Amino acid sequence: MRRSRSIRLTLLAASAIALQACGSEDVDAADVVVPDLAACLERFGVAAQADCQRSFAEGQTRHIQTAPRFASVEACREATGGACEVTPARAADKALVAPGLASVAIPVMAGLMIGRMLENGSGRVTVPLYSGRPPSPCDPSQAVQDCTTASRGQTPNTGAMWRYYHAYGAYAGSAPERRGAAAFTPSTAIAADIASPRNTATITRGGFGASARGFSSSS
Amino acid sequence: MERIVSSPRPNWSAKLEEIGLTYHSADQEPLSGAEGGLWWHEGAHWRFSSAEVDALDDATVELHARCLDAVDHLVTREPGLLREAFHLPDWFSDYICRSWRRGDPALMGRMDLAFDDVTGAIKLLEYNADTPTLAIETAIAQWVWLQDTHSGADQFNSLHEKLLERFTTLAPLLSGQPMHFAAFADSPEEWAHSTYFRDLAQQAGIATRSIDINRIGWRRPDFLDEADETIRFLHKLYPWEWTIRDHFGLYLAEDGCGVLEPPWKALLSDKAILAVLWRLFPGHPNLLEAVPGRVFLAGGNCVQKPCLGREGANIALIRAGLTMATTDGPYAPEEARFVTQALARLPQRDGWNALIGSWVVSEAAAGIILRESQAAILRDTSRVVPHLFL
Repeated sequence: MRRSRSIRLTLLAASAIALQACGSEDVDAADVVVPDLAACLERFGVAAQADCQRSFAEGQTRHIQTAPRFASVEACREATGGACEVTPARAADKALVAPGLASVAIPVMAGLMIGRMLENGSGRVTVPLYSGRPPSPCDPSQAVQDCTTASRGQTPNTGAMWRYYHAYGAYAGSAPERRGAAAFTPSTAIAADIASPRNTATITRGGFGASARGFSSSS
Repeated sequence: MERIVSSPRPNWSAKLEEIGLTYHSADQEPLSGAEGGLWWHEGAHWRFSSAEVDALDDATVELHARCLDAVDHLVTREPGLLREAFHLPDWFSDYICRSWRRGDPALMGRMDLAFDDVTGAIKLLEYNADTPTLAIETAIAQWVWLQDTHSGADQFNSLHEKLLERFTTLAPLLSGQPMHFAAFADSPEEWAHSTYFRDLAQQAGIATRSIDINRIGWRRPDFLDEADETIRFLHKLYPWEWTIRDHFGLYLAEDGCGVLEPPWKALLSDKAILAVLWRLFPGHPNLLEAVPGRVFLAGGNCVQKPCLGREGANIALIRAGLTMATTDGPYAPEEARFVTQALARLPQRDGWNALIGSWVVSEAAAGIILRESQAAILRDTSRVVPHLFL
C-alpha cells in the first residue's frame, strides 16, 4: 500500500479527526479517543493496563498545563459550554486572577486522544480532550489565536451526539478576555525576560512580509 | 494513465471544509470558464498503473538526489557560479553555504513533473523546494476522497505519514524549544497550510506557536513573537527571495534562529538551478535541456520562464520558433533573470493537460497530486484533481 495508513488532524480540521485507511485495523497504527481508563482497557486490552494508566497520568499533567484558563468557573462555562473545575493559579496566571484569589478555572478533561505508535517506537502522543459546544469558527485574521478543534463522537449509552475539543493552550471561546494568546499563555521564559534589562531595548515589528505585496507565497 | 470522469461526492464541499480545506472553490464559479471552475475538482480523476507509480517514485528520488548534488557543487566547488547564476547578495550566499555545510535539515518539497505517457519519459519542470503548497489537497483531501469513493484502490500518497515521521525526527533537535509557524494570516490557503504543518509538528511532540509573518518582532539578537517570546525555530511559508529583500532578512543570517526550509533550499526553488542541473548532468533522462536567459533552443520548442516566477506566471511557450502561449504576471520586471527549458509533452486526455506534483519528504518520494488545464501552461487557477492506481 502506497498511501498513508491513518490520518489524524487536531488543529487544521473543523473537528479533530482520526481516520484509518480501509482494511488496516492495526491497533498500533490507529489514533483513538477514549473517555476514561475503562474505555482504554477495552480498546487496548487488559495487558495494556500500565500503558493506559500512564497515558491518563500524562494526559492529566498535560491537561493542567495546557487547558485554557479562565478567571472564574462561570467565565469558563460561558466560553466552553462544558463543565469546569478550579485549579491553583500559577505565576503566569496573575493577569487573570482577581486579587485575593489563588485559583483559576479550567474545563474538565472529558477524555484523551491517544495517538498511534510513533514510527521510531518512542511511544504515543496523548492529547487531552474537553467537551462542550462548538467554538466559533476560526477566523484566519485572528492570527495569534490557536484554533481550537472539535470532534464528534457517539456517547456509548444514549447514542446522543456530543463534541470533543482539544486546546493546546488556547481556546477559541467567546469570552472577551480570550482574545490573543499573549494574555493567556505567558510562559515562565517570558516572565524571566520581563525582569531582564534587555527588555528595555525596542522591539521592531513588520520587518517581514513587505516584499509580498500583490504576490502569493505559495508555489 | 487514464482520465476518468466521475461524479463528485454529493457533500464534497462540506467534506473538504471539515478537513480545513475551506478554499476549495477559491473565488471560482462551478462549471464556468475555460478552466472548468473550482480549485478542487473531483468530477474527474486520473488512474495510474502500479508500474507508472514506481517510475514516478524512482524519478522523484533520483531527481532530488541530483538536486542535492547540484547544491553541493555550487557550495563547495563553484561558489562563483552560485553568485553569478543566482544574483545573490554576498551575505545571503554566505548564509546558504553555511547552512549547507553544517547540514541544516530540510522538511519537504514538491517537484512539478511532466510524464510523457507516449515515451514513458518523466521530466522535471521545476522544483518548489521552498514554500510548496497543495499539501492539504494531496495528503488529506484526495486521501479522504479515495476512502469515500474507491476504498479498494490504492493511491501514491504517504505525504501525511512521511511528514509526521520527519517532524518526529526533527523534534529532538529542538531541545524542547517551540517552533514558530509563520504565514500570512489573511491568505486562507497559506494559513491553512501553515496550520497543517503545525498540526503535524505538534503530533510529533514539538511545541508550536503560530504567527502572522507581519507580526514577527526583532530585538537584537532575537526574533520575537507577539508574546515577546524568542523565536528559536521558524517554519515560514514565505519564500527566501522575498525574505532577503525584507528589512529583517539580513538578521536571519545572524543565525540566532533555525529556519525551515533552510537557506540552501533557495537554490533549488530558483529556476536557475535547471540550467545548473543540465550543465552538471547533460542528457540525464529526467532532465530537460535548460540554459540561462531568454533564448531559442535548438528545434525551437521551448519554454522561457522567470527564475523567480510562481504559479505559472510570466511564461512564454514556443513551438517551432513561434510563441504559442504566454501568461502575464508580476514576476518579470526588467531585471528579472530567465531560464529557457526544452518543451516537455504533458499527457492529454479529453483536451485536459495533466501536470504531476510529486512530493519529497526528507529524501523519499511521498506521493503525487495532479493539476489539469485545457490551456498549455498550468497556472494557480488550474484545478486540482485526485488520482488513484490499480
